[in-house]
Amino acid sequence: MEFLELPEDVLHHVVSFLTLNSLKNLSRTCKYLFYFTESQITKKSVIHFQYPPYKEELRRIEEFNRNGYPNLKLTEKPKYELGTKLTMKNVYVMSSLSHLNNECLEYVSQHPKVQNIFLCICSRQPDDLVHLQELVRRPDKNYIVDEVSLSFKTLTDILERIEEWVRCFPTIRILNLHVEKFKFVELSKSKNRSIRKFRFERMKLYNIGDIGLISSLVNSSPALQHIKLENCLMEGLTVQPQLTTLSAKNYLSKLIELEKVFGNQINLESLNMSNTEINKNFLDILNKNTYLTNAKFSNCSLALDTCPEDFIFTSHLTNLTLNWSDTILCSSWEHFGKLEYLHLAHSEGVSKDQSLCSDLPYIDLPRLKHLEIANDHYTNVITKKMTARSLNFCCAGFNICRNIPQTRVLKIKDFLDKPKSKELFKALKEQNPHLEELILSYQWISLDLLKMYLKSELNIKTLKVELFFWKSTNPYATKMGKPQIERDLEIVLKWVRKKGEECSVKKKDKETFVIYMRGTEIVLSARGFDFGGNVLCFE
Amino acid sequence: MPNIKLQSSDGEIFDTSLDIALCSLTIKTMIDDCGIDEGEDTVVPLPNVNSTILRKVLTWAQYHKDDPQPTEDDDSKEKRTDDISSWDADFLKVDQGTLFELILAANYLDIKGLLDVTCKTVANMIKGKTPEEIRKTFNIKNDFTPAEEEQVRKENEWCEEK
Repeated sequence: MEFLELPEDVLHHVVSFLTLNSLKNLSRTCKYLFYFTESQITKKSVIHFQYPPYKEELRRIEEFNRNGYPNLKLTEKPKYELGTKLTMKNVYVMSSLSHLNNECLEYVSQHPKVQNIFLCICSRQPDDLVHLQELVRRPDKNYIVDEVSLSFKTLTDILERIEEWVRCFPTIRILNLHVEKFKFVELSKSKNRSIRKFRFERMKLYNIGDIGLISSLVNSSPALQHIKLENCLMEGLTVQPQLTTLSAKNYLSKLIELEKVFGNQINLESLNMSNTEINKNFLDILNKNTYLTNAKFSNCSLALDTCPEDFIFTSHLTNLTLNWSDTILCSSWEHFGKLEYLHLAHSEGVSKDQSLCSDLPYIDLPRLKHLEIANDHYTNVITKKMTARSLNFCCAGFNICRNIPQTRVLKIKDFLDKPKSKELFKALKEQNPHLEELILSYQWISLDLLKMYLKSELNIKTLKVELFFWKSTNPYATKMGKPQIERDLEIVLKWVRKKGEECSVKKKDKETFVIYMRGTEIVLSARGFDFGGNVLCFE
Repeated sequence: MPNIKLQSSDGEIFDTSLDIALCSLTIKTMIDDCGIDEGEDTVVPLPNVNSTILRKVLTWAQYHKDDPQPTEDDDSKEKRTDDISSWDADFLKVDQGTLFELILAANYLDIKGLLDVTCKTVANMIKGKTPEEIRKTFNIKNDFTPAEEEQVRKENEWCEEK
């Protein structure tokens, strides 16, 4: 008997135990399971976007709607033009209580298909609880208070207030707790309080210097699976519930013994650590977490006790992001064999200690599909020391020209220097002549670029030129502004049209022109945002 | 508690205590519907479960006979897979074929506790694995073209956990 021979109802029961990430991976194994897992993925996920919605987000919502996905998370006050698209069964309304009023809830609830309104509430005032109780005292729809974000000025009475919220709304699954000013409470004065059991599944704690409070909240929530501790005291804390996701940022002490805090964990799937030193004992614990596939380290280093002889980096990782964590990158390089996604995220010009990376051994990364190197100084070292035969997407700076990997898609970001285009095309011709897609994140529209491409006789299927304005000081985006872009575009288009039958130009949408030329689809898109958040587009 | 006889698909008769057999809602319904009285020498046929699997099911039921009745699933709650007891984990150290047969038997016999723990075991075999590793584990043939595979990856990329 095989897995795929299990009857559908049984298979449904199996997949109901999977987390969203595992479901996504299962859906990618074969067509049958792709269609089979669709409804579960839908059930377990939400689309989440910011206000005001940009065009891309509206497009996503429409797509979401078209595909029948039932969950939509609105942040801030729902807007009317967006509301007309609401036809989902479950709507998540994320709002501060000062914004949440009768009119807003009425608007969401009047849609006939909306059955459940999940409220994700932000509260700053003690009166908010009463206000919310009044708001949801309406019989027409099912209001479920799912998430509360509570802000406090001081540490006084926090636990009592949370208990009050939970008493009034026992459905609360997610708790975010924010204390305005960090205040350190000595361990001897901090007390673990005997309190009721909470049903929290997710918790985010910010700025809390009272270990008794943290311990009471965390260890009285047996269902807790996801935790984010930011700027929180951790000395003396032992996290009892079995977590799936752990994010711990900005410790106050670099020398905290993580193995004491998280020593009980064996089911971690995702880890996000920052500003800390990872020692051997903690690495041993991470290695026991056999489901740990995603990790991000920011400003982290390896402690001296992690000596090379017995050093084992978390061996199950498939997705890794490293940000200012050079010692981890260099010491762990040989343990990256299972990676599918690698993002070296720190983008500053000079690394803290570049010499660390200079003697990396050669490594085969047979599963690596996605590689992003933000720091151009690393690009050459990294790409020289690896082979990645499954690489599909690679994003790096111009330095990649010296060692272009065999990837299907190559993106060169912040490609500021026009004359370098020639050098790039030459390097491509020599090192990866079969590249399918080249994306240049550019700040100009340049006829020279097109001419150079044609001259190179490269045969790339798609060449995308994305206009990318990342700060307001960019002269093209501000001083000259749109008229200049349009003038330059007109020059390009005129030239293309003159070429005659072999070329064609199509305006795909407000932001995109597509030029077909000698078998290459050249996409010019202005997807940048100016400083005010407005999308730049071609009229 | 009196005994009851259960007959597997390959004809073997299992004489077992009624309280163990009643872990199965299917058997319970059969007894209720057919009006089988205590002490009667009736044989309950179980045509969908062979003797090897039925033996294992009864071993599981014997161990768990005093467990509280499982509650109905709450869909809105996140389901855990890390709460399998060490006895169950040892009990389920079997080959894949047997594990799937046990799931089918638990489903047919309507034994929620056994169905949950076996399905959790399979879920744990999926957790933390890449699509390729899952394929290898369950002998699944990849019928996506590279382009389709990329499309599928993109499709669910933006979904976030609830």
